Amino acid sequence: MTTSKHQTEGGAESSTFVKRMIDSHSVLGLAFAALIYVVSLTGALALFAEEIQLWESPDSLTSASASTEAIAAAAVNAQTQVTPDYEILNVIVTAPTEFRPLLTVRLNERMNRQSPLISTDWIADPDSGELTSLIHAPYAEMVELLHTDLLLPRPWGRYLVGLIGVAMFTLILSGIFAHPTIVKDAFKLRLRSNARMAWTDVHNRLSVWGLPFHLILTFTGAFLGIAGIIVAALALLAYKGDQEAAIQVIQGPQAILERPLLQTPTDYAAMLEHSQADDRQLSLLVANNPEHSGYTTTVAYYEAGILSARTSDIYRNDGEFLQKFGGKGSPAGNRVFGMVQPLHYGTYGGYTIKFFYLILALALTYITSTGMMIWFKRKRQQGQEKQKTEAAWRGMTTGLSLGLAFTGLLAVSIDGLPLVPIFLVLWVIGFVLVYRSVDVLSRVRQLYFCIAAVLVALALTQGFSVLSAHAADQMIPNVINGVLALVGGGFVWLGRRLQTPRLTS
Amino acid sequence: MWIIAGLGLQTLGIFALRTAQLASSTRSLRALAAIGILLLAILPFTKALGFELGLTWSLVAISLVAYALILRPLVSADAVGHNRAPKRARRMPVAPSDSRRRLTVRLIAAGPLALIAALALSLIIATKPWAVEITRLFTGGLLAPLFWSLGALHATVDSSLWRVVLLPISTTALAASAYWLL
Repeated sequence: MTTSKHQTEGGAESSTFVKRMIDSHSVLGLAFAALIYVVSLTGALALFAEEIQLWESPDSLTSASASTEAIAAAAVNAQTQVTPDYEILNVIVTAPTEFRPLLTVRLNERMNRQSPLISTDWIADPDSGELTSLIHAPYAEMVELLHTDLLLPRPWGRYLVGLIGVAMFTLILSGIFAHPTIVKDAFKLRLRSNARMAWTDVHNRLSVWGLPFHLILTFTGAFLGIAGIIVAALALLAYKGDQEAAIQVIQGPQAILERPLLQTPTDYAAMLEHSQADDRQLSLLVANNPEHSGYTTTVAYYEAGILSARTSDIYRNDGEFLQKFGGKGSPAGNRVFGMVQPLHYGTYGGYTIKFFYLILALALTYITSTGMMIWFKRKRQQGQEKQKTEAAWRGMTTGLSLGLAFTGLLAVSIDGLPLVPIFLVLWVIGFVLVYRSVDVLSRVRQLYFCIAAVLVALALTQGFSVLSAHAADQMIPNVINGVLALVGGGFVWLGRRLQTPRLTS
Repeated sequence: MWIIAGLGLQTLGIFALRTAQLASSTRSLRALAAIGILLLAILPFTKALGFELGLTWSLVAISLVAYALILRPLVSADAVGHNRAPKRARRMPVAPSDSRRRLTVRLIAAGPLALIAALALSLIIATKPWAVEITRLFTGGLLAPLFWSLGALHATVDSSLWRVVLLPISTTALAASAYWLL
């Protein structure tokens, strides 16, 4: 009897616990669904921001690799571009990679320590290091900013995205705790059941089987988003509010300010040669305050067999080798920290991993959508149908795709357009068209066909540009055009699915 | 080749788990064997790519393999569910079950209060000398989102609104005291 009573109480407690977890999952899900959807979808696109940049500027001088002399020359050439009376904070040369076969260089300069930073980016000749053109990829930049900052001013947009990352991570935790039969239900997919249960199964199967990826992605995303807050808090407490000092601690040896200005230019080529090894692939050269002998130059590279992308050799600007920082043999904290970026952006396993990430990021977007679908269906079953909310959700999601597709077409067709306001207006138009429609599903279907047409037009427009440009021998822009056409086909398929009268989606 | 072997083992493991669930007897034993195969599938990845990369690859790849095996019906289905609801579904509670006022308090606790508590705990880890400086800083920083998430989860789950508010405040106070005392 006692056992039975305990079992009953245990069962009731367990049921209450699960109910509270579901409640938590619903509260956070409903509060953040729209933002999670935007961040997830644009995250899937931002995985390919480097490729989109190349696709957008098919005239860019591409190369699979660059010589150490060219990298060194690119750094020196960028230094000479400094605005008179400005100080150089740093010069960053990025070596060509599989994902972005371009030698690029960024000059970060400012009038003084209190004034805002001005960044200029060039593409350099991979043989000579000569600066050939400014990087001009407004669409790639917009997509990236939409993902990392939601197009809001820095740092607030970044913090909001960090908060969304935390909410997503919390949603995953509550989702796990709310699902005591997680293993038993691992294959349950009752698509012929009532709509709420069917969507719940789809939501749970995508979530459970994508769990490792979703944990990795949301955790690293949350960290990247709130890293600024962490540094600010750390600086406030331990470095008397000096954020630069706090950042320098995690970047290796400190600058020696008492040292004099350099009499001869820094020999970057010698540093790059010194850092060469068989198991290393050069990624970056970062020259901090390059006119000052007391500052440092970092030669960063990928080490074979590890995940961390923060391995570097650090030199004093006068050429003295100081230390290897991060990578194999470094303290655990440093190694783990170095894994954050590659884990979040899927840059550690070539295009196979990037493709995996794309599918899983799109799945995460769909999971968000199915979560909302479950709520709508439950409300409908209970006779409290939320037609307007559902129309708003469909308007938001369809409008986002419409905005992204149309803005892409405008970006490659007309130069110099203010893309961000155009994108926002198109998004709102898409939203209003669906929200105010009498037949929401028909309007969504029409817009899907419209998006499909825009994507195919985009693929054709840019296809012709690529064929007549430097990058024609590069696979990346051509593959992107092919993918755009395929995604267009996908929207037609989705639209046709919506036509099926039995379909509840 | 090792990666293909890993993918093959993952496919086998998921298939075995599916079969185990359909089995009428020795279900647990079969499920354990299937999970064993899934764990074993990590080895070929680590053999090919090293421990860090291999483990990560296997964690990402298993999702794709599972999606490919499980979700085919979703793509081919011409309908997802029907709109005939069972009677009991009409009586089921719909979250959020709290009042607006209580919900607002919970969200404040889950947001700013939990963030401040998480930062306070992280800063203790980052600044107190328990390891080399670089490890302390990175560990403290990386734990901040985890602490925040746990705080947010508690704030949205705990039935007592007092605990929801007092826990992050007392955590912050304790962390601040520890910072000055230690």
